[in-house]
Amino acid sequence: MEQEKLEVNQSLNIISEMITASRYNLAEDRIIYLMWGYAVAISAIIHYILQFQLGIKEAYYVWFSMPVLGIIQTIYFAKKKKRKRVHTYVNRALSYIWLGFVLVLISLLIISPQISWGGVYPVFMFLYGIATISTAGVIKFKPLAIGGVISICCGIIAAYLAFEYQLLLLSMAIICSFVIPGHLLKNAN
Amino acid sequence: MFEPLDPLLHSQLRLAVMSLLMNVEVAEFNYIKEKTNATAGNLSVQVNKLKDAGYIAVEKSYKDNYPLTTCKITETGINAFEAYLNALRSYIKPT
Repeated sequence: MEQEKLEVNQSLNIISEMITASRYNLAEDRIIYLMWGYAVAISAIIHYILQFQLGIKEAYYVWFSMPVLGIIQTIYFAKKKKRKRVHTYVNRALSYIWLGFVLVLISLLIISPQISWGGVYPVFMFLYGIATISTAGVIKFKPLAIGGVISICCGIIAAYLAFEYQLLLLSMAIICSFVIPGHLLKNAN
Repeated sequence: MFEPLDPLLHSQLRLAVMSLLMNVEVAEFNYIKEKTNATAGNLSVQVNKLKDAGYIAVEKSYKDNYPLTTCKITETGINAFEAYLNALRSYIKPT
């Protein structure tokens, strides 16, 4: 009987060890959150300073750095895919959430001349909110959900403000939904 | 009352493989080998036993011109694992 008990305990230990070993590493992709977070936050602030403090009309050129980051991210995930030896449900869920996010983001950029930048920016913030709250649910990481909610609130406020303030709110939204959770992910698992 | 434990799962390495595969969709043979700290020979034997029982599906293909073996748990495997867990519960339940 004692032997049987020990074996049962061993079995439970093995199951628990394997679940831990195959768990999604939360800190795995934090570099991507940080890269986009800092890039968008800094670009929005530079855009604001150049256009609304220094009066430079071509300030929006600052956003042309985004496609470059898009290429860097594509290379990062292509390399990661090559090294990947396991497919998990978490990875699949995250891939589809962020694929949807990117497709809607590109669609918004395409239709932006129709609805003006002032109309599009709040939707960007809603979009950050949807993606980060969904991700938070999948990886069980609360700071991302909190960041997502703050981002949505920024979007609501932005809808009532002039474009120059929307830039500052966009910066705040991305710092709360990408940058802060990105740093906190380092110590989480 | 103690429920009988599935002898196929009540083995260290086979249980480790099944627990791992319960948590992922598909895993490469080398990934399982690394996580379970098993030797390739032993793992191969145990994987084949699980495959013969219909608990896992094994697929052989190529990746960058190298042979690649991937494993995936089947519906039968999931049911067997759940039954095994339920049987384990009967041992740890306070009497």
